Amino acid sequence: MEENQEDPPFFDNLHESYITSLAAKLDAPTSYEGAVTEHLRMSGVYWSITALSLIRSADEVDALMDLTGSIVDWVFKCADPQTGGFGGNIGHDGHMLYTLSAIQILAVADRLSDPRLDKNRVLKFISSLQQPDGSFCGDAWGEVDTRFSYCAISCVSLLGALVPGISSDDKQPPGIDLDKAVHYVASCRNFDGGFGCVPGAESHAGQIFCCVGALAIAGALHLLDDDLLSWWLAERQCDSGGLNGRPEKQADVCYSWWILSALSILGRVHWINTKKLQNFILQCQDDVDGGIADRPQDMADVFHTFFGISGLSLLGYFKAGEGESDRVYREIDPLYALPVDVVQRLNLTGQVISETINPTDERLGKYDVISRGGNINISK
Amino acid sequence: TCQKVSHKLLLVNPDPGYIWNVRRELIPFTELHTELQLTAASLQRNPKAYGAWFHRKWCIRHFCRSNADSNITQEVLDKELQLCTNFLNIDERNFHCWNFRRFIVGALASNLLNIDILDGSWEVFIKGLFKGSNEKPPTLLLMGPQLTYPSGKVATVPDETIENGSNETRQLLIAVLRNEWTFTTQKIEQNFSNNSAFHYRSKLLPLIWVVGRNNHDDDNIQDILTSEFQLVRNAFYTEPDDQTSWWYHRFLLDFCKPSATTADSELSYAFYRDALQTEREAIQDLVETEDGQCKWGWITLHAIVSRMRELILIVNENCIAIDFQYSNLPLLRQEAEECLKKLIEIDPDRMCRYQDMLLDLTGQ
Repeated sequence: MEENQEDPPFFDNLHESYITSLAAKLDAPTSYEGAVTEHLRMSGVYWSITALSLIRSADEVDALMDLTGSIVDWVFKCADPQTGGFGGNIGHDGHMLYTLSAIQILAVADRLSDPRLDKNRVLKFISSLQQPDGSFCGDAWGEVDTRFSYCAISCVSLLGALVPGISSDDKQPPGIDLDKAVHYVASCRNFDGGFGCVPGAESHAGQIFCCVGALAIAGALHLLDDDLLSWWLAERQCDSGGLNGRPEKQADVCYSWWILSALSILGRVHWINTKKLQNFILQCQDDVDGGIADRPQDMADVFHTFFGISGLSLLGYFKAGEGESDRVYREIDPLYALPVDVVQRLNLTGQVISETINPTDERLGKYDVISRGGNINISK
Repeated sequence: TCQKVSHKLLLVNPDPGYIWNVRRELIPFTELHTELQLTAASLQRNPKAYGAWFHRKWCIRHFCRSNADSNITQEVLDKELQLCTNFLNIDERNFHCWNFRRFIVGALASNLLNIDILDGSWEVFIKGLFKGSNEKPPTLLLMGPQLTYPSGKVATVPDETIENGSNETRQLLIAVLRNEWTFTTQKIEQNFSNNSAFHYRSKLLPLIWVVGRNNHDDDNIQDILTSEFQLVRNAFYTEPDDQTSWWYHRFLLDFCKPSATTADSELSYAFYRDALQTEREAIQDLVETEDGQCKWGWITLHAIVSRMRELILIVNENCIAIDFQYSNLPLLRQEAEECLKKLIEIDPDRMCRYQDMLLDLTGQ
C-alpha cells in the first residue's frame, strides 16, 4: 500500500448489502464459510446487527434484518436448557462467549424484558462459572481465560445485576463476586502494563480490551497503570497506520477495535495517529461486494466488518458531515461494544479515565470519570 | 459412531467447542494417544484453535491424574515439551503454544513432587523450588491456572506435602526451571524479534535470581543482569527499530530498581546507579551511530534520565550514602525535554503522547 493515499469513501450501501445478505449466504447448504463458522453464529449475528446499527437507525435495522422478530426468536432457540446459558447455535452447549453475544443481541433489539428470558437462570449460569480466585471458566469443562471475565462482568451488568461488593454467598439474585473478579484481572498484569489470557501469559491487544473493559465496567481502573498501558497500545501503530496486537506482528483491522476501545476508556486516543488509522481501515474495505477485511486486498468477513466500522465510529468518522449526508449514524460505546443509545437506554454504569470530559461527548459523559495516573504500583 | 464423526469433523475444523465437549464425554471409551494424535493433527491445520489446545490440556490432566506410574507421566510430559518446541519452530509467536508449554512445566513439577494438581499454575512448582529455603518466593501467582477443576473442588497444596520432598527433587525442579530459561535463550538467539520469548524470560528471571542465590556456584544477580543488558543491547544494536528488545530493556531497568526489601542487599542503589549510567552511554552511542534517527533510543534515554532524577531525589530524601557522577538535576531534566522534543520530530504519529509528557515535565 502506498503511503499518503487519499481516504477511499466509506461504502455505506455496499456494507449494508454485505451484512444483510450474510444470513442467506452462510445458511446455504453448500456454504463452506457457513459450515466452519456455524458454531459461533451467535457472535456472528451480534457482529452483523451491531455493525449495521452503527450506520442505520434501529427501525431500519429491524426492517432489514427482522431483528425483533426472527432473530430474537432464533436467539431463544439457542438457549441451552441444561446449563441456562446460550450456545453458539441451536442445540449447541451453553458457553460464556455466546451467552454474552445473545444478551447483547437482545439488548440491541430492546428485548431484555422478553418473558422467554430467564434472567436469574442466566445469572446462575454465569456465577456458577466463577472460581475461588475470581476467574471465570467458559463452561463447566473448565477453560480459564480473561475473555470470560469480560463476558461475565458485561453480561451481569447488562442484566442489571452488577452490584459492587456482593459476594457469592448471597442467594438473591445470583451474583458474582465483583471484588475477586477485578483482582483476578489485575493479577494478569504484565511488566509492560498489558494483560494476557491468564496470569503469566503474554500481553495481547484482544485480552487487553477484555481486561480494560472488565475493569471499566466494574469501576476498578485504578488497578491498572494507564500511562504505561496506553503507551504500549500506542506502539501498536505500524507505518501503514494500522494497528497490530503485539510487538512486531502484522497490522489487522480488528485491532482497530480492541485497541481503540481500550484507548478510549483510558482517555488516550490522541496518542495514535487517528488520520492514518482511519485511512488504513478505509483501505480494507471491499469496494465491490462490501464488507471489510483484516488488511487491504484481503477477503472481507463479518468479524472484520464489525471491528472496522466500530473503529471508524470510535475515531469520530460518523459524525454528521462525513459519509452519506442523510444517514443517521450512531456511535459505539467502548465498554460494552454496543450502540450508545442502547447503553443509555439500559442505564449501564462504568468508569473511564479522562482529564476532561467534553460535555458534548455523550458517549462517555454518563460514566464515572477518574483522572490519569491513579494507579497501584506493581511491587517487584 | 460419535467418535468417528467427531474425529472427522475436528480434523477439518477444530474450532467448534461443543464437538470437543462430545469427545470429552466419551473419554472413558478412548485412550490418551488417540486424543493426542487428533489434537496434534488438528493443530497442524489450525495451530491457533483454542478448542484443540484446551482438549489436549484436559486430556493430559485426565490421563496423568488417573495413571499411577509417574515414570509414564514423565515420558508423556517430556514428549509434550518436544511438541511445543516443534510448534514454536513453525510459529515462534504462537501464544497458545507458549501457554501450553507453561502448562506442561507446571505438570512436570507436580509429577516430580507427586502432587495431584495439573491445572497449569506454577504454585506447586514454586513452592517446590523454595522448599527448605529461608526465602519467600517472589510470588506464587506467577503462572495462573489454565483449566480448573469441577466446581466445588479447590486445588491447593498443603505446605507440609512439599516440605516432605527430598533435596534431590528440588534439584530436578531447578533443572526444569533452567531448561525453560535456556529455551528462551535459544529462541532469542534464533531470532531477536521474539516478544513471546522475552515475555517468558521476564517471568523466569525473578525465579532464576532467587534460586541462584541459594546455590553458590551460580552467577549472582548483578552478573545475571549485566549479561541480560548485554543480550538486549546486542539485539537493538542489530535492529534498532525492532521494539521487542527495547521492551525487555525497560523490564530490566525496572527490575534493577531497589525496593524496600532489596535496597541493602545485592540490588543496591549503587548497582542501579551504575546500570543506568552504563545504559545511558551505550544508547547515546547508538543514537549517534544512527544519526539521531533512533526513536526507541530516545525513548529509553528519556526513561533513563527520568529514573536518574528520581534516584537522586530518593537518595537525598533518605540520606543514603552514595555518590553520583552526574547529579545536576536541572541538566538531567533538560536532557529529558530534549529527548521528547526529538521524538516529536522523528515519531510524529505519537507526537501527542510526547507533548503530554512535556507538559508533565514542566509541571514538575
